[in-house]
Amino acid sequence: MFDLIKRNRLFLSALTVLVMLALLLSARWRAPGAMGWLDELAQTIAYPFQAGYHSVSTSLRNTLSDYVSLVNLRQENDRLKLQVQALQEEVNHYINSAIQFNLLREQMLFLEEQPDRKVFAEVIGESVDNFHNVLLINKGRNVGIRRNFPVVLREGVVGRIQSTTATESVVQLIIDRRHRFPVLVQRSRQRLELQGQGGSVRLQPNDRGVVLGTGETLRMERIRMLADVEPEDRIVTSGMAGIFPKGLLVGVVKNVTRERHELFQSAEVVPAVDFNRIEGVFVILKEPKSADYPLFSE
Amino acid sequence: MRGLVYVMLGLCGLWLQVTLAGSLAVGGIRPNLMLLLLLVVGLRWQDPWVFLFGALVGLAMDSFSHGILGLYAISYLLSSVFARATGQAINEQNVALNFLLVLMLSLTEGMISLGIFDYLNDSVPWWSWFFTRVIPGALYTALLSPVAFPLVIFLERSLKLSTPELE
Repeated sequence: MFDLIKRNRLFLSALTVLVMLALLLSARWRAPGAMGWLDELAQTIAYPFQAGYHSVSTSLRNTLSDYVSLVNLRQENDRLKLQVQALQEEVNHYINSAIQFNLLREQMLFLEEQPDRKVFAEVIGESVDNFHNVLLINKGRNVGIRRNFPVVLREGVVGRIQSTTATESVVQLIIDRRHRFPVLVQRSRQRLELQGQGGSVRLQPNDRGVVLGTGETLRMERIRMLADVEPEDRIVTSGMAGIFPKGLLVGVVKNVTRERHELFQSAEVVPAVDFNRIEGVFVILKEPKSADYPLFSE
Repeated sequence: MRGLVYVMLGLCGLWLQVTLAGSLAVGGIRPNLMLLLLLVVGLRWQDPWVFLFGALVGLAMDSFSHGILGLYAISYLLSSVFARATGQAINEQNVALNFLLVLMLSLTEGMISLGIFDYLNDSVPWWSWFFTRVIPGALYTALLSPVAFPLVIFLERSLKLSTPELE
């Protein structure tokens, strides 16, 4: 028996490792929240590499940029002196405008309730493979970020927090294949005014669908056949998944597919955010009790 | 000695994958430098315990891709075993053959990863991803094999490592 094991120790070792990995994979897939320490450990190890690279590449880029800007410096200096004189006059005008703006802004802030508290985070890394669409940001639990908190930009929805450590978080982008969430079709302000309804935008509760990432763009599925969805329609979050607040811009419908034999129609959606150019994001800090809500996407 | 070489290779491969692969990306497709290193080592050294190296660097790749822990660990483990078996079956090594072997093994790894990914995620566009991600990624990785093989050979000779070819 011992000889048999000894003779096949290589095969048995490989088999043992394979089975252990399969068990780990299975356990992680069935309960993504379990064994969070394992994720944290992996991220803690990965963090210095990605943060270091980001720091070095930023320094190199800045050095190169400084060198380039030295070229033609004298000519530019003369030109700028003339510009400064012209701008000084303009500045006086803007100072007056700024005073007026601040007055108006204070009134606006007084009137407008700020429903969400946001924290800005810098993007310091991304996934190293071709299958996952995630970003690494330099803020974590220390500033109150938790799993499933929404990540946004002024342009629209970016994604959700997949996991966090004390100092960094992983953002799962909405174009990631694993990500899906319910949305609404939002009609234009122009139509709203023609229909004579109050408010700024009209949300159509019946025209719902589910958006899922395709790795590059978004696909909206499970839209009922009679729903009025057309190209150029704006798609916003429905607020039903418990992750994103209602009404955040997701993207614009590019084309709609209607098949006679299908129960639902589907649409391709171009994301509002250019995911290749993200340098920083806002994480919306929600109430702690919302962090572990049952999720639509799981 | 060889264990230390594996550790250093793993760290170097990981460092290159994290720092360099993103900059080398063409049309959003990045070469898999870690896999390339694993395959070259598996093909040349044919170490019986190369599967352990594969599993460990696979776990590291899982951590850095922030995906499902275990996905690359399994696919890299199997790829390393295939690479070793292929290396044993084919004694001859030249640039064209190395390119073909790395291409085939990269495609196999891609299909294993995609298979696991498909199993864990419903409605993965298998064929679309296979043609738009796996094949270009494997081709790109294989195109770098003429650089990777001489580097590993240089390492062998510098450290006087015994290989099936040199023995």
